[in-house]
Amino acid sequence: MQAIKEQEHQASLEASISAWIDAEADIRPEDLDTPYGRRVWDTYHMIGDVLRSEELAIKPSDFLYARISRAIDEEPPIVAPRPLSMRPYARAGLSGLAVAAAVAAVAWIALPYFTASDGGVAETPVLATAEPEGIYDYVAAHRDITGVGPVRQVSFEPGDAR
Amino acid sequence: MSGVLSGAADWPPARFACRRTGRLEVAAFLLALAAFVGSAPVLAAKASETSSPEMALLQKMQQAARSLDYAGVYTYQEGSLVLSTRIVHVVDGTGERERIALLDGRPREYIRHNETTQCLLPDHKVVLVERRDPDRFPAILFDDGARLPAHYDLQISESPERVAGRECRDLTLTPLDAQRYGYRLCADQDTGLLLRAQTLGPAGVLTQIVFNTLDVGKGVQSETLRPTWNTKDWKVVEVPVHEVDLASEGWRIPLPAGYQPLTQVARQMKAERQVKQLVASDGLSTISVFIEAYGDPGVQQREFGLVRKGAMSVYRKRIGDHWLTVLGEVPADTVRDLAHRTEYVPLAVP
Amino acid sequence: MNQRDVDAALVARVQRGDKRAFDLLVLKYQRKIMRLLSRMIREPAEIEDVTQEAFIKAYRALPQFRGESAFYTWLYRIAINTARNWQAANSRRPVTSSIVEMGDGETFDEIDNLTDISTPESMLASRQIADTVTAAMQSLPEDLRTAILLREIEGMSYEDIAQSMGCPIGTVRSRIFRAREAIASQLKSVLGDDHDTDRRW
Repeated sequence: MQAIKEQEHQASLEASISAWIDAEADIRPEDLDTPYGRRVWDTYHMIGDVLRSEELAIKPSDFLYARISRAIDEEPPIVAPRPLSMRPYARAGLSGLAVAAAVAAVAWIALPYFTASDGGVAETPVLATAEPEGIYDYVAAHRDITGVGPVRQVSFEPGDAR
Repeated sequence: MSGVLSGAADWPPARFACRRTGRLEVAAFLLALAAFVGSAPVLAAKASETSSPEMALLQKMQQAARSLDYAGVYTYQEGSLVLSTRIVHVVDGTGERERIALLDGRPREYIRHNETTQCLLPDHKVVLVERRDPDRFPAILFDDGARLPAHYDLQISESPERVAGRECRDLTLTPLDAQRYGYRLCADQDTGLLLRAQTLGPAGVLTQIVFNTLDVGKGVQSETLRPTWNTKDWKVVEVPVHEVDLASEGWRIPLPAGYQPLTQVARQMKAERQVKQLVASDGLSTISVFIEAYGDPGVQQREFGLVRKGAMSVYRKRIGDHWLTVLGEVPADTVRDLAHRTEYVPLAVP
Repeated sequence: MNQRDVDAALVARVQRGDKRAFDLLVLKYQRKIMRLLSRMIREPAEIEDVTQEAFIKAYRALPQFRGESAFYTWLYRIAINTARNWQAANSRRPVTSSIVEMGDGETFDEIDNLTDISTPESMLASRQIADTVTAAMQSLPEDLRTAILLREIEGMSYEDIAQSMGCPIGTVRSRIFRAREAIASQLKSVLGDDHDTDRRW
């Protein structure tokens, strides 16, 4: 009887992990906090990876996961991030370049320009600049037609849907 | 010579006309052949003329993107920005079918059948219908590419590369002037499909699109074309777009050497914001010119000056009673010069 | 709930001090990161070292992760940076590298797709895993196979799969689970012993 009960518990553990991987159920974290639970998690993810790409049929050496896990154990504990609203804003000025770059993936930079054509002068970036208001409407309208795959955007607001 | 958009120019250019009737040509092509070969017959016709190995490779890339079945995930990279997209492309008796799903950021999908694309926006429960020529990657050309050798030096690399587990070869296009960027395109040895495309600036790579995983041919299942969401109760919206003739309105827009107009339309950008847009291309790179009247509702009343981010340069200025915004995946000087040389000479009403 | 929510839930736990939750993220993404790094690092022996370093860097940077991007996107960037620094520190220049210094201080690394260099042993193991999964899929009953394909390849939710297959959501859940179990039991022999004393397979 005990063996059968254990088997049932096992089956329901794997079934729970399966559902949680798909974001279709909540799981008690302690269910996954065992070597076996982690093994199931790992195998199920590997199956999904390999189905999507044979290149992901990688078997890391047995020690890799253990090494990483031990290394994490030796790290100091994490301090949770402050809420977004409390983050100090980018400082202005030339030193703000590095900070501005950290805030946006790639920053808009302002370039000098002259009224007369100056034939081939190399661009001299001046400063990271705040994103010009409304610029993405044009970028989106351009990419609408020319398309750049994932960056293709649609400038769309709920008000447009009449 | 540069294509000056004026009343005297041949408009619409022959290539543009061909593209619009592409679908009819597909049907004719299919009827003519017993076995289905593929779409994009305009390119097939052009490729039979004498062409260098480089141009032949470009045509092959274009053909492959339109006529093969493939599925995979590619990433777009610009600086430290990385965006992933899943694509499925299948050709059947009715033409091309495609599904593109953004894997980062807010979810969004594009479901395409030939020239009709539905953009699914689950956050708004809206289907946006667009009838335009389809997405570029891995189709790369905006026309037959015939003008490219005049403005780029084309070189096929000696040694093979490896992308997404497949052997491929680089075709590098080095610009012959400073008005455009360079490109490096890696084509699959086997099928010719474009596996990686890089935009090259003076100091190196500006942007890159590359397949991380890819299946070509067998194994691409048609059920993977189905959208993620059930859109039964969603609102269907079609953004009104109609063609215009800017030259006849008095606009003189001197395009850089090799650029020809692809399309000019009046369209909406945001709620109640009308704009006229000209899109021009040299075959690979594109420039858009936006024209708004000063008094248009909702129009932005600020100059941008000249700004650049990644491969995109933008310049906005006022010309008389109009706002002119020029942008493109070109060096900043190019958009600036274009804007400065643009003139508005409305024809006198008799 | 979707994939990002699963990662976000794990990240939230890690940010509250649960280190084991980070282990789960490591298991989930180690293959993808190894494959990414194998394109930038020639020596197979070093790939795992750099993989480890990338994950540790990610762990340390987690307080700054606020979920503006998907966790994997963020991890991916960290892995690329780690590999780049590793190459520089070890004077290993990839064949066609160009580190671009942009005027605004950003650097953009040209992502090299080098020849995949694997040891014969690891290639064999990969082949076995791939073949086992393929064979197991082929011998699955069709409803199980369809269910797991719609989930893993299409990323469809259980609800959408249920609609698509015309069955209750509970059946979908069960089919996907049984498909995974069937494939996993075939993989037992290939994956071998990994030092888990609690091995139940």
